[in-house]
Amino acid sequence: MMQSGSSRRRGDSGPPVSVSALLLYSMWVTVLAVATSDPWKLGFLALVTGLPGLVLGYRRYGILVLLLGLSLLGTFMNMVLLYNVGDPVFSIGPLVVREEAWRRTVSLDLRIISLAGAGLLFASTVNPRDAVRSLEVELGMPRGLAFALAFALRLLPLVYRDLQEVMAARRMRGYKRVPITPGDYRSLFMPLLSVTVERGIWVGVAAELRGFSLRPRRRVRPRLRRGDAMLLFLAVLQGVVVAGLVQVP
Amino acid sequence: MASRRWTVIDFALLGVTGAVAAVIFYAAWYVWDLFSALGPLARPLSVGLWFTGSIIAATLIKKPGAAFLGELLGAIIEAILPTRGGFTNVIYGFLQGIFAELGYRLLGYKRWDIVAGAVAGAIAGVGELLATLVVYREIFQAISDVGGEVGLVSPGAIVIYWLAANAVSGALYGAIAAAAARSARG
Repeated sequence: MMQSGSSRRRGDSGPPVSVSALLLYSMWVTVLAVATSDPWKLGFLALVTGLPGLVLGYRRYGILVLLLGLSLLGTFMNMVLLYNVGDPVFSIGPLVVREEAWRRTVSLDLRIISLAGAGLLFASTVNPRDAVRSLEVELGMPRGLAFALAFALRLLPLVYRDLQEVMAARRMRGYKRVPITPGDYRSLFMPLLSVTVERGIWVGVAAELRGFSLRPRRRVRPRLRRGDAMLLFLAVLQGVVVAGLVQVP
Repeated sequence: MASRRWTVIDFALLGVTGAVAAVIFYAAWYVWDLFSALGPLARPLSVGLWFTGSIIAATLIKKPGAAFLGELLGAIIEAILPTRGGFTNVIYGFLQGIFAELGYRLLGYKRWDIVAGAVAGAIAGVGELLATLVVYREIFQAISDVGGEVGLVSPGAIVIYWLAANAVSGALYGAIAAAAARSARG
């Protein structure tokens, strides 16, 4: 995980890449993966960014990566169901997978790997608080929005705790363990939202009383780090490949 | 109508929406998986859950821009959490937010009730359709190609079905979200 700004200032060498650079890199790869449908170009993106992102992400978000595997399998099944025509490529028991289904599966799955990998690369190496700070003071996100984002991230564990309390209360009152009907969801969601809204209003009042509106706007130039040059190189390389300036097979 | 200027309390409520929407969006992936198991055409019926961020924000804050920002913020947090969609969530959130905001704009920013939530939710479905056409165009192509080959459906019919399913799902979850938010705000 990246270190916070204060620990960076204490004189150690700090993380190898800046949060802003990593955020921009992940978004750039996302745009590239959306822009192309060529399986070779998508394969290049998956190799350079997707797979490293999944490997890094697996440490913190293992279940998410496993669910991603299910999505890839689902894509394969859909394409076999819809497009199983052409020459046989391989067979799994009685199922013969044909060229068209395989080509389309590879293309879509490589995009999914690239997109998820780019997201996980950022999420698994950056502290959300650092991400908000970077968005506000380095990338110029409006102060009110940055406040809302930071507050939302702070609220998440509280919402989770409230959710557990509401679930416990529901169990004690004899409600179903797993909510199924809209009524179940209403009884689960309403107290959660009421408590959170109440909390939000009072936090807003407190922030205003502490002079939030009068606080001067902070803006610093992004501090480039050693690894940023490598990220820039990889971003340009992937952009060049997707633009077709360099031919992949 | 009250002042349209955003206060700190409005931004705090936007944060509340972001947190609640992120939890809903996170859970929505499991619902989406469940619907996906029923077939590719069942998927759109679950997407209305992803429009609830805009409806909750607009109903709580009652100001222009709230629907767009609520949806976008929820999507940004969904990307940071993270979920399988990565930063494509932000593309979806951006487009869905714009169309949900358009729904409230069409009502003149005068109604923030359950009907307005349903209308905005239904219109947000257009944003989801556009985003899917951009990000996962192969899915549409596959369904419409095969549908066309067997003579059952045309590509246009697939788009219309997708749009209608998004609208129904968006209206349903939008109405529920608006009712919950109105009740929570008191």
